[in-house]
Amino acid sequence: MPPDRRPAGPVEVFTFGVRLDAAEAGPARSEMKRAIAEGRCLLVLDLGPVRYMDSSGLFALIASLKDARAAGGDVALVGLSREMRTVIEVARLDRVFALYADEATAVAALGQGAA
Amino acid sequence: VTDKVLVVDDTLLNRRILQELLRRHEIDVVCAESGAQALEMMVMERPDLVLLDVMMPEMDGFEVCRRLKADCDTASVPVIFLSALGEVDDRVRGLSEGAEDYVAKPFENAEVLARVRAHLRLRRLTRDLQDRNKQLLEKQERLEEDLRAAADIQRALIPKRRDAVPGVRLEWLFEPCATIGGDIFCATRLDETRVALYLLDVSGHGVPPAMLSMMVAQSLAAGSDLVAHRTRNQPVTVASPAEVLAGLDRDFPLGRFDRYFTICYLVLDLASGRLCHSSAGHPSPILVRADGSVRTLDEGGTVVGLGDGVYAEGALDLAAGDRVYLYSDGITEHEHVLHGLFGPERLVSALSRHPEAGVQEICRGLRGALDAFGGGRAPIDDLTLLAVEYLGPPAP
Repeated sequence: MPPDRRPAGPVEVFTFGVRLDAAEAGPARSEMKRAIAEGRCLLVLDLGPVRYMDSSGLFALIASLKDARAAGGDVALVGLSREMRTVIEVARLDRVFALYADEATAVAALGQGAA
Repeated sequence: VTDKVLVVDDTLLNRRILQELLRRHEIDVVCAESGAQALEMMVMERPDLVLLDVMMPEMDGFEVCRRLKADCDTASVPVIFLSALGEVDDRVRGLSEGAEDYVAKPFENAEVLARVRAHLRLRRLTRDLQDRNKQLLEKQERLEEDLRAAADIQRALIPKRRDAVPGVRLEWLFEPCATIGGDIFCATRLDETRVALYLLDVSGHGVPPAMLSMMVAQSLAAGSDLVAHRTRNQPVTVASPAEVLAGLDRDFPLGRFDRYFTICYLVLDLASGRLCHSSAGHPSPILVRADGSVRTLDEGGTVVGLGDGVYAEGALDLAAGDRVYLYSDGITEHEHVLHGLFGPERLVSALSRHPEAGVQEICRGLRGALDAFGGGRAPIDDLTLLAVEYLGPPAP
């Protein structure tokens, strides 16, 4: 299932399911790619519901970050559980992604850059 | 190909009627006048279906059917009973002997023909399915053979012996969760005194990450420009861990193979015990000193492939008996359904609890602890760990 997608001003918010693994990473990547191709390259990724993410899932996030930045945009992560935060920190991606406590703050921060 | 039906009946007239009916509709017919003859003809004629009379002297139709169904050569041939006994009990008995269908005498030609055709069609479809299934199984077997061969090639890239590098003792766990995986590690001599140690983990599972892992291993092999420069009549210039990781980040951008990888890379000077290290998005190596004290080697940067190419580097001095453990996240993320992940704390404890034990014993103990924690559940990621014990400077 592709992630849930909805606009919030200039920002596009994606909410993922419980698992972000090899089966889910492909549809997730495609959906984010589509948004970026449509010129919506400020992405807030809500990982709140995610309980399991493997390296394929992490790849989808990283690849979208590269795509978004190449298009002049950016990606922020919100809703990280303790487990997801560990996955991100072990990969030292906490220095690469912008991390925010909640969606509203992330949308405001990314949107400000756009204004 | 014409279908062939074996008609078994002790009455000549019945055999004739059925023979003529089926032949008129282009079905081959062979006849037997007793149960014993029918069993013989099954072997010689290999019919596609049997029309079987119930009431026959000596061996009745039920007995013939039981024997056909008990023999794996004939069990799949459909049997249709044909008998004046129209009682429910007899039909049930016929079907419980394994027959496919039942037609009561006196029969309508059209009904016999329709039932025969239906069962012949079913038999053809079943056979096609079985053939295709067999082909799939053969193909699957060939694929698995290829995978095992590929895994052997990958395995050829890791050290062959525990004492492959003088000055250190190596020990490892290397268990891809499928036949082949994206983890690989190595210990290679860079020059007279220095050794490179690394362990890497390519994102995803299966063949593509395995192939990429081998490609990266090749670019890190002894003699590669990435790890050491050689100029004529000059001593070898060994690249620092940060330089090596920056080189990999340049050579393996994310988009090239649609994957990233994580790696820890260390250079150990065997003469001095100096250890330089850097990790790219990889779990920090764990240093367990001979006295049992523990620290992690955290310096580094993010995963390889983002193109940032900035990696911090750490350095420290090893003494004889100090051990460094490199591992991939399959170990710490080994899962128990209820108790969650094995986690770094349990790993550190398994590696440091018995500093007096040999590295081999410690690796075996860790494997046991993983099994005990997971409740024997098969790992869902590769389990890879490389233990390196520094044996001290070589004797002068």
